[in-house]
Amino acid sequence: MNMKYIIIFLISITILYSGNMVRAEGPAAKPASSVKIAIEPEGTVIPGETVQFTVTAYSQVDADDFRIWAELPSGIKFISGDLDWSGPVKKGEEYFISFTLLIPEKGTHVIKAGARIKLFEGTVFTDRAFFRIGKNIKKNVKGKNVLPGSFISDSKGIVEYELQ
Amino acid sequence: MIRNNIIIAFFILPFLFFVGCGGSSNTSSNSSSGSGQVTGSIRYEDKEYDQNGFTGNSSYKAVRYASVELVKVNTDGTESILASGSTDAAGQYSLNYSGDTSNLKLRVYAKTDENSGMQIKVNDISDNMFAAYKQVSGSILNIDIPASSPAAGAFNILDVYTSGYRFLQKLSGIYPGQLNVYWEVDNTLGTWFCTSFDPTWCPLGRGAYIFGGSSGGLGDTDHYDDDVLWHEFGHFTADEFSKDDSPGGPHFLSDNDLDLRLAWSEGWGGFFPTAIKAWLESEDPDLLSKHPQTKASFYVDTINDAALISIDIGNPGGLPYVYSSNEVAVAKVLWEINESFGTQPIWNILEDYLPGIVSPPVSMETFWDGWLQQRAPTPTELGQLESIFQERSIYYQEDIYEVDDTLSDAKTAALGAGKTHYSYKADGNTDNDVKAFTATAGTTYTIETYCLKNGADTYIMLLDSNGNILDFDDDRSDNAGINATYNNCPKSYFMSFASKMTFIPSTTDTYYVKVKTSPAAPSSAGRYGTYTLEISD
Repeated sequence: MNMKYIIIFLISITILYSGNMVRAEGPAAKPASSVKIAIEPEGTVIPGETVQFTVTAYSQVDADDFRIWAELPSGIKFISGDLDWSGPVKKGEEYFISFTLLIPEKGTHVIKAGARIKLFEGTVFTDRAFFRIGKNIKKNVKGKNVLPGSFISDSKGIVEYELQ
Repeated sequence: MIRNNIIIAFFILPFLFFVGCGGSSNTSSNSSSGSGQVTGSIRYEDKEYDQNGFTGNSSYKAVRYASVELVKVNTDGTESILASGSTDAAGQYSLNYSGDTSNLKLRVYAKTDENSGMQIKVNDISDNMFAAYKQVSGSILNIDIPASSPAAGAFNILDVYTSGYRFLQKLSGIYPGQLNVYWEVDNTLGTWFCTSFDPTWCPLGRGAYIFGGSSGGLGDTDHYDDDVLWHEFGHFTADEFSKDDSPGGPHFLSDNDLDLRLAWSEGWGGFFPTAIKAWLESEDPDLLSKHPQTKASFYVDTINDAALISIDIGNPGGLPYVYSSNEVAVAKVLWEINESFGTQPIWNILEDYLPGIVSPPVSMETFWDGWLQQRAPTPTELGQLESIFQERSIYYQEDIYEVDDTLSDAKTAALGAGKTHYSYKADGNTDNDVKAFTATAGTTYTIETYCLKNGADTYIMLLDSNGNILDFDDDRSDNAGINATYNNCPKSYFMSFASKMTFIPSTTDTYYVKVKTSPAAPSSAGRYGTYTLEISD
């Protein structure tokens, strides 16, 4: 390829990216909940053995009405710890509950956790997290992908779903 | 005999013709040629919500102004489009066609028909168009897209944004340009609006990316969260009609020391759903998804059918939803202005004033400037406006020490007593706040600003009684108050713009402290901030 065209191409790419690049932080996402939560096991989750889980919540706001909890599915044996805690929270501080479970030998189980802050006049912030034990189940929700026919004007593909 | 033939001609032949031309279009593999018409309505199942999340109630709503096609599926799997058109405001369509009438299907796209004047399309992240179809089995074909269909969300998005377009047409007189929506259910990257291409965040270019949230992948989908969809539409309107200088990045509703540009942009996004719902409530409440008892001012984002975020923008409470650096406070101010003056004057500033502003960047302050310039408010209106802002601790008004811009106008400072000032001049000039104090030779004095709010960035100068500058400071070096409270002020990003100096006079005399907005204020700060000045020994 002619060097001139290579340089033009490189300059074009540079202009394209420098002119349109959104800053590294990315675009402003939708408003975030003022409480964030995570659930993690302390160590490896091995079927047939006990493991301690910790649900950690982080508040972005002072609040008197705060709750953090975990929901266990059937088949999971609760050994010890706290599955629920309520109380006041301070902005920027972490709160957690810990509990120990006996992991079943078989099956897929999902431990759900949540945190909720209630403020003035019905203002509610929540967050959810889960930890899946066992195989991941892949949902098959995609419809039939249909290649565009020759009459489809803008030459884009279609993802369409049949209705009964 | 002739009479009988006439009877046949008038009554029986048309019936046979109708049967042969699509009135009984069938899906058998036997080909048959003819022509006919397919009519019907297309609806999608909408989910009702209130401040607690989805109520469990649903209703079918018209798929409005959507592109529809009558498609012949050929034996080799290819398709031929026999007719195309659109639904109307009631979701009704009518297509006339000619050709092979076997194996037909009616396809509706999550895309507005170009003849509607609206340009909305909902695609997946591979840029494929979402559509739903049904086999044609007669001349009347009604299509209901249930909420359980994977396509339903695309049609709710289309409906929400169709209402958005109509709202903008009412405000602006014209529809906005193309809105591309990219939607994926199981993607938890988040939901946002991109103004331009970015290889990481906006790989398909400008448009709304409706992915949901990253709350553990537990179903924080947004395709039925009308408020979230309209929040992003708010960003689209700002990009399309106005000017948005937001740097983006993460933000929480409870943050009240946001970059003013971000707070304005997100505050507009928070206000927009409330405005459009209030409008629909008066114009066509059946188009709303909210429970009739749920106030239009509620912003609700759901996860697993329950509220992830639920906040009444019209009544959010006090802290932390205060200052021009909080998005809820910005939205609340706009909501109150909307209640008092309507949406049109707000929109006029967005569409006509803000785009012409080169500097300073667009924020709550420039909106205020626009209101003063566009409306030249009467004292009564100005008072109304000031009280709306003041209710959110935003003080675009002169403080009680004015006039104090020169040494001759200086007020005397009481040592050790911090006093709140507003960097605002009603005449539009730059504000200088000058304080006088008597200093004793050999004594150490501390002069500082703190409790910076509403985007304040101070710059202090120490002057002698002849007006000579003895010292100055822009940003204090101790960064007090950024990560911890200082002098009973909440910690704040803006404290990094506070000022401080110490002074030991060699002569007992009257000295002056002059405070103004820093000439080096960053774009994240403003001009009309609030601060406390204290001189102590």
